[in-house]
Amino acid sequence: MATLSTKNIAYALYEATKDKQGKDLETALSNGVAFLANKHLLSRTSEILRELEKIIDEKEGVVRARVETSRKLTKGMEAELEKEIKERYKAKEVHLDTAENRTLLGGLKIQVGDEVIDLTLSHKLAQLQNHLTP
Amino acid sequence: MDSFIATFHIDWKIIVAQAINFVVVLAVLYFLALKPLKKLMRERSERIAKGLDDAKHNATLLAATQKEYDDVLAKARIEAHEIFQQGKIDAQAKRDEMMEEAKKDVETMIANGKKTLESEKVKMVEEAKKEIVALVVKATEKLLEDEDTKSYDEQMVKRVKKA
Repeated sequence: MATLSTKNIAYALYEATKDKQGKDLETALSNGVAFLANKHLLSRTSEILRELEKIIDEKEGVVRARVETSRKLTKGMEAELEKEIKERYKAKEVHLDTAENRTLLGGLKIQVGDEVIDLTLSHKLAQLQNHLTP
Repeated sequence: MDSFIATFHIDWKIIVAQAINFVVVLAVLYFLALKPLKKLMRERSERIAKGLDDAKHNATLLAATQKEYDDVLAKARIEAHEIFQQGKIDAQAKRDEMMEEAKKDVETMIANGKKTLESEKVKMVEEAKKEIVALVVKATEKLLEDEDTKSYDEQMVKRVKKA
């Protein structure tokens, strides 16, 4: 018997609930939960929901970016950053999750999915150090 | 003749008897003394002759043995000399070989020492370089900690699209 991957289950849930509202959506969700309970997969609910969120984001053109900076970004800079990320990932919507990290010294570090864009001064210094001491 | 016989009172009978007596004594002497004595003398002469022959033979044998001994000794001397000379040559060759090996070993040791020294030098320079760079980076980090990096942050925000 083939094992059910979290991604496959999430995709099946997405397909089952897609374009549904009200009673139909409720029924589809109930069937989904019953299926998980039946297959003893309720312990993996949080992972499945994360995958489902990724699928929905992908389908709806939403990009979630975790941004780390040494100092809090101004509203103007956040708006500029959203614009840049939208253009880079051709996204309809960008959700920023910002955090301060003094060790970065300057610049910013962005993580979108598995991709990390490191534009921090600490990273530049580390690169310089590696370049000077191979 | 008669007067002579009368003068000397020669009695032919006595003379004959004495002659017979003499012959008997002579015969007795011959058989009992002279013959064994002659035999004894002959045997002694033979023994002496044999002794002389043996002595001669022994002298010849001794001379031959002496010659053989001298020959063997001379040969042994020559062989010993040759062995000694060969030994000297071998020892010289061995010494030269050992010297050559020792020379090579010393050269290898010097080369290895030089290599080790060179690698140690390179290692030391690399370590010093690393430490200097680490110090420079640390100092830069310290300097940047209190710097206002707003303009840099803005530049980086604009570079996100191309990064």
